[in-house]
Amino acid sequence: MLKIEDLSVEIEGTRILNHINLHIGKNERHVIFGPNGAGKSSLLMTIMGYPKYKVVQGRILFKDMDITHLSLDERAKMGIGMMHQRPPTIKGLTLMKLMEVFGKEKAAQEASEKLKLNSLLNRDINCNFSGGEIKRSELFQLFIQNPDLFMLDEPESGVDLGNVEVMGNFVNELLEENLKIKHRKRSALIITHTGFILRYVTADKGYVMVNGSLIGMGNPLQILKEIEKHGFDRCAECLI
Amino acid sequence: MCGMLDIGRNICSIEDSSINIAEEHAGVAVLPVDRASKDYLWKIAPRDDIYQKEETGIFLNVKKDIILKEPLYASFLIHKFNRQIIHNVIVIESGASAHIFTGCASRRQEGSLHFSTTEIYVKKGALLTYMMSHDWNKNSEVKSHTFIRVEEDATFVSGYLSLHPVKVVDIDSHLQLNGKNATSELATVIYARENSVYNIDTHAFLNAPNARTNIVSRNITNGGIVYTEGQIVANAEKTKGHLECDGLMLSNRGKICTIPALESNVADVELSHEAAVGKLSEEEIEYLMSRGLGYEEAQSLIIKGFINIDMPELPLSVKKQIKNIINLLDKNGF
Repeated sequence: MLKIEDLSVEIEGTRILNHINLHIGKNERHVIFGPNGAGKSSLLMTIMGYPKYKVVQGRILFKDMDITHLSLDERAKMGIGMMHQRPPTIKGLTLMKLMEVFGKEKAAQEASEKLKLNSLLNRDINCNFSGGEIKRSELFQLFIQNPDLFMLDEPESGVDLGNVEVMGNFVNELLEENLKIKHRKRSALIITHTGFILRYVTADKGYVMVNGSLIGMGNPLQILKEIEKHGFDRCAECLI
Repeated sequence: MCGMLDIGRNICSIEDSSINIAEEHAGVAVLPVDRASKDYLWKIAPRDDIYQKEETGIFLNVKKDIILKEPLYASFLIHKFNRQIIHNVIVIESGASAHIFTGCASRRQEGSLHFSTTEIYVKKGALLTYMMSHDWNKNSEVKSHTFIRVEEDATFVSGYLSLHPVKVVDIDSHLQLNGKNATSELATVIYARENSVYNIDTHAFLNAPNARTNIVSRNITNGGIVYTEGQIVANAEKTKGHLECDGLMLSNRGKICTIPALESNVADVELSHEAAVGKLSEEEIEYLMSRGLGYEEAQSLIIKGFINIDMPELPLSVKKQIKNIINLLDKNGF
C-alpha cells in the first residue's frame, strides 16, 4: 500500500527527516512512538503532501505509484486520509456544508450520531472546538472520506476520559477490527504518545522515531513496555 | 437583475424616476413619498441630504401588530436616465414585524448616479429586517444615506451586499437606538473589484438603557478600495456594542482600510471591537485539499464562508436569495 524509500525531508532548509524507510502492506497497521519534536507529525504531513515539507531525497510510493511530487488533493483522491493534530479554524464553513460539497449529507448524519457529534455539524469547522471535539470532527471527516490508508496523528491527545472510549471504538470500527484479517482492506499509520489506542486497535509493527530517524522496528506492545520502563532514549538503544 | 428577483411580494419598482406601486397588501400601505405623513418626512434625515429637488421614492407603512412572514421586495433601476434621486420613508408600527429586500441595479452602461436617502422608523416592539443588494456597473456612482430610529423593545437588522463592479459607493448609516432594549444588527459584505471604491460609514448611538448593537463588516478586495468606518456611541447605561471588521486581500492590488471608533459618555457600558486584515490562509486551503478538494474549490469555499454572515432573524427566502447571489459570484470566478 505505502512504500517509503530513503526519504529525507527539509523545512526551509532545515533537515527534519533522515533516510526514512517504511513499508505498510494492505490491511497492516503500523505505530510510531517517539518524543515531542522527533519528526513523527512531519512524516505524516510529508506523506499527505503538505508543500512546506520538501522532499530532498528518496521517494514515496502509494499503490505502486510514485506520489512524491503529487499535490495534497491528488493524494487524498488516491486514498490517503489524515487525522490532523492541530487543524485550522475555517470561519463561515460548517462541517455539514463541507459534507454537502462531497455530497455525503446522509452518511454524515449517521456518522455524527455514532460520534456524538450532532452539535458540531452546524458549527464552523474547528471554531472553538475543544480538544476532544477536534479529534471527533477529524475522525468523522475521515470516515466520510473513506481512504485506504488512515494516518492518525495522536488520536488520544486532548480527549477527556468520558470520550476516550467513544473515540477508541470509532477508530476500531474505521480500521475494520471486527472483520477477519483477510477481509480487511484498510491500512493505518498511527502516531501515539501513550499507546492508549493499542487497547482498541491491534497493530502489526511499531517504530520509535528520534531526531528525524526511525530507529527500530518491533512488536508495538513490547516497544510500549520498554518505553514505559526506560523512556525513549534507552528504548532506542535496546531496539538497535 | 432588478425587478427580476423571485423573492417575496413585490411592493414597488422604480425605474429612473417613474414609480410603479404594486397592488395593496393587507396591513401594508405603499404610497409615493410625497404623500408620506408629515410626522415622518425629513424627521430624522436632514432635509438638505438630497441635493437636487427632483425626487421619487416610496412611503412604506406596515400597520400595527401586522406580522409579515414573507419579505416585501422593492426594486430600483436606472435605465435611461443618468441619475436617480430617491427618498424612501419606512415606518414599521408598534408590534409589527416585516422583512424588506431592496435590489438596486443599473442597465445603463454609461455613467449614472444613484442617490438615496432612507428614513426608517422601527416602533415599539416591532421587528424589521432590511436587506439591500447592489448590482450596479463599472460606471455607476452611488450615494446611499440611511437614518434609522429604533424604539423600545424593537429590533432592526440590516444587511448590505455588493459583489459586482461599481465606480464609487458611499454608504452612510446613522442608527439611533432610542428605546429601552432596542436592538440592532448590521452587516455589510463587499467584494471590491478593480476600479471600485467603497466608503462605508456606520454610526450607532445607544441612547437608552440596555440598547444593544452589533456591527459586522466583511470586505474582500480583488483590486478595489474599501474604507470602512464604524462608530458606536454609548449615551446610556447597561448598553452593549460590538464592532467586527474583517478584510481579505486576494492579491497585492487594492486596499482595505478599517477604522473602528468606540465612544462612551457613561460608565456602565460594554463596548468592544475587533478587526483583522490579511490574505487567504494557505493553511486552511491545504487542510481542505487534504480532504480531496482542488486548490480553487478549497479557495472558493473559504471565501464563501468568509462572506457568509449568519443573521438568524432573516427569513429563509432572503437567506436563500443571498446564497444565490454569492453562488453566482462563485460561478463567475472570484
